[in-house]
Amino acid sequence: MAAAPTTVDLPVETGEHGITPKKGRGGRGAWTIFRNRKAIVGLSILGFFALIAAVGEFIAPYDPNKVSSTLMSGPSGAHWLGTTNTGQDIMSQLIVGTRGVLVVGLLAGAIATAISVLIGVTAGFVGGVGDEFLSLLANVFLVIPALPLIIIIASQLPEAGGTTVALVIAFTGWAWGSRILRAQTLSLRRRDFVEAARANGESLWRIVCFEILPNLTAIIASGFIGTVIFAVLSQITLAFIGVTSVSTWNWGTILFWAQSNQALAQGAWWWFVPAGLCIAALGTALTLINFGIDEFVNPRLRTTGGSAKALRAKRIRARVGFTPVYRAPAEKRGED
Amino acid sequence: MAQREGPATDAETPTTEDPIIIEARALTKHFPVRGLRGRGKAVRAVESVDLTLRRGQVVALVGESGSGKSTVARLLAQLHPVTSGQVLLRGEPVKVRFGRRFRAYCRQVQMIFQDPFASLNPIHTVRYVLTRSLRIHHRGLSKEELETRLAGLLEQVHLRPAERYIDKFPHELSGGQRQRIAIARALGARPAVLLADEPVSMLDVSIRLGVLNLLKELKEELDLAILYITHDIASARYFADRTVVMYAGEVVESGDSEAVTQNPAHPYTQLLVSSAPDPDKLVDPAERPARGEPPSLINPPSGCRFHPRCPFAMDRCKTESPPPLPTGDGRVAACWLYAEGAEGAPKLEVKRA
Amino acid sequence: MTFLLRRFVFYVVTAWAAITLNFFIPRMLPGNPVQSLINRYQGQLSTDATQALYAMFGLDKETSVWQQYLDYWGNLFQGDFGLSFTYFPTPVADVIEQSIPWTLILVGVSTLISFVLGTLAGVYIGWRRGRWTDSLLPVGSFFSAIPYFWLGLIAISVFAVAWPVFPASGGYDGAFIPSWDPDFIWSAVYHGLLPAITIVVSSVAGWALGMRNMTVTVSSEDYVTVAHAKGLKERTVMFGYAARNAILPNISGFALSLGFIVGGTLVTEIVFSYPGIGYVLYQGVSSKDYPLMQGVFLIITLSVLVANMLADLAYAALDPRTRQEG
Repeated sequence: MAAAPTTVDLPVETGEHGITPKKGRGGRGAWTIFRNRKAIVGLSILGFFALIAAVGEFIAPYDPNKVSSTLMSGPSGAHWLGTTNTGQDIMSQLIVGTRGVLVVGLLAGAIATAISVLIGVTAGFVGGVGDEFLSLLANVFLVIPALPLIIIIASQLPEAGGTTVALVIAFTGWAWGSRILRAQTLSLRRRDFVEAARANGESLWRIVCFEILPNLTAIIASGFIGTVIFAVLSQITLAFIGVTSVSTWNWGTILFWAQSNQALAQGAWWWFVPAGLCIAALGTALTLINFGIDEFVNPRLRTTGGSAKALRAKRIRARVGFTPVYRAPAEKRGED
Repeated sequence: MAQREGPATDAETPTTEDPIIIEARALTKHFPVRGLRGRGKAVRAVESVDLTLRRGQVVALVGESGSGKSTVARLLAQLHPVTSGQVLLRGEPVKVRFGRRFRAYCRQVQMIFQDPFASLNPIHTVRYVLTRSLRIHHRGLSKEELETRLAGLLEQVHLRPAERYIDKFPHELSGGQRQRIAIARALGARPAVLLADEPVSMLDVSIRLGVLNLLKELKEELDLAILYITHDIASARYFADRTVVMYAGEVVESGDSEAVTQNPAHPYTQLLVSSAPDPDKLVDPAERPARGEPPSLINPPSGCRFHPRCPFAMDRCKTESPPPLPTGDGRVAACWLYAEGAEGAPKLEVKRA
Repeated sequence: MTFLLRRFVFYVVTAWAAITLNFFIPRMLPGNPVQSLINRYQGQLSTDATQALYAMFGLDKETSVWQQYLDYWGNLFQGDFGLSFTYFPTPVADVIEQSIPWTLILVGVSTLISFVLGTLAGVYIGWRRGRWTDSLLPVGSFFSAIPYFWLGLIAISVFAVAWPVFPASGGYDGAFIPSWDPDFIWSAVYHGLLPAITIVVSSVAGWALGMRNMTVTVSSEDYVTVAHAKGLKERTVMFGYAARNAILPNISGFALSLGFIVGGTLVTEIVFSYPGIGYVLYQGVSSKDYPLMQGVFLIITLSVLVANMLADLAYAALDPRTRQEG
């Protein structure tokens, strides 16, 4: 009994052993995220800040610590963003401070993500007692309020420089990501391809690294960005409260000095507004990137804004969960 | 299944002298129930199952969902540890979980899964999947050898031309093609035993025949011992040499496929056969009332697990669990109707077209 | 029932962990905080106080760490958090007691308002897709990227300095003494409005976004289609079926993010010099008042735990699946 034919023999270029070497596959999977508009906007803003962080020292017009005689003056030609009460140039402070913000934010994000991957994936994969213990650990850190804990720890350190702050933030901020990763790992572990890989003889560590982890990249990336946002905000808050050292410049330190020198009461808006705008811009950029990742993972979240308009032009109301219904204009109905 | 062919009409007629490759003796698996309310209870998924696979033979394991057949396959593949009983590979008891010994075992015993989409990782290409299979079990392959073998595997499962499929992702293939890739992955290890857990249940009916025929071809080419798990007893008759019927974790009947499917001895097998949809066979539903549902495996019925549904249940069935008893024509059935001196179950009328 | 029991055990464990953490942090970190303190308050501390400080920080060589640990627990149960430095010799417990009601009211009310508003907005936006409401999302996320405190600064400069609509700081007019008479209460509310508005504006977008995502996912489920097909009014389907299911992750998200919310509102208090527990913490940090900081941390943590428990109760009441544990 002959096997039912399942393929049609097409004339194809064959390589030496019957298979041509693998060609590059562009446009597949992960790279499509970069076509998402939100992600592009977010990445551009982030790129802009990264550039400033890299070359900040060289392009700042003044030394941020240098005092001058133009005290508390608004934006002018010489000082684009005005000066502080001791005549320091705010714009230079902002530019130089970018590096501190980004470095600490990214470092904390990286460390926290590494910890959360380690704990979350292990908990989801091993199950049983190990899982219970690790979940308990994560939940404890999740429930304890992060900022007060960071404040407590950081304020009792003799000297709170950038790396130390990053470590403290990572220490308190890993729990959220690990919880999500654990849930995903649990559901992935039960899927057939994991069992199939095992039945094929794959070793456990290879299963974790090559079968499970690649399926988690989007979530890990999203968690990383979320943690960076958290780290940036925490770091700035710490600087604002005065917990971290005020000798290294970052956007929060600017606000700290603004607050302690009554900038508000004196109406010196140029002192604290730009810093806050930068924080908001960075935060928005990161959130937009995260949106892009979310929509990539869950296509249902893409706003049907554009397509909905087009549909409405054809007199079709696009509603969630419904098949769009086309309302025929009166004349045509008679032609049923 | 419109086409019917006897299972043993090919060149090599399997005889009972073919060597036993893998065997299960008194295989038992209880899954503990987790949670506060489940302390001390267990799901008795598999209870004292005996199974034999010989080289070049197909054994069908037939049963409903929850009968324990998939668990038996996983026990044979050493994916779960047994609660009691033994798995013997070529006569030697085996118990491996990790490392080199596990891999060596996998080299001999491979498994194919039911859902062709779920059993392939969506992010890996066909090339990756098959390469892994080759690399795990054959160390030190050169690049050229690898390419040759990849082509060979795809050729074996009739996916031609090979370069058309090698770089595809699972979602770019049809169900039948994916299942063939899964089979190719299993073949990469050059196993002696293939455990096929409902390999065609999730494929379109028109594709099933092709895949089953492929398995049959491979069995003959490679002298494979195949365990074919299915809930469709009709396909067991088509494809398998022997058929074993399971119910609620226990073996209720086993024997030559033709005999079991045409002349079922155990009342449960009779129920299965009479419910198999066949336009040629018109059984009056009133003749065989299908009562009830499969029992809970946490609290299985005492004695014979089928007695609540059995039209022939006797008092003895409620208290004593019947062992597999010979029915007289080389088959065994776990039913008190076949105890010494008893007549056996009334024959099921099988109307042929 | 088992669900709630497990959660309760978890909270007990977390409380223990927080307290233990609080105990060990000053002992584990490098540097000698007491010494620097003593140097700063040279001469102002009596020998008794110095001794007490040493004991509190575990630098007392005479008792073992385990004994200190037990003493710490004993003190806690008696409500003894030690003495504050800034308000020396007022006990920390008293300081906290005075400031906590302010925080509870401000944070409690504004968080609830923003949660309710955000959730409703999220349901609406998620339900009606493809309209102008979708463009609110990037705007909303811009606002939620703004640190609470900066928004507070802006709010003050706009609404309190430039246009003196609201008072710039404080919890109440300094002329009043805290009591229950209506004038005081009105003053308190008036002073609390701007901080509350700041908190709501800053956090509403987060809730809305989460709810919108869940609503979108839920509304493509089959049971919603069935509800529509049954001919139910759209509002009934939206709230009774879609929102009811979509809100569940938001509630557990709410519980989990309480810690984060607390952080943000703390800083808002600082900006507005609002006499709540955040402001107290700020003062503690500025003057390195360790007993005060630790006391505040503990209270905040325990309150968050309690709030989490309440959220779990709400979740258990709303989601019938939790009742069939086992």
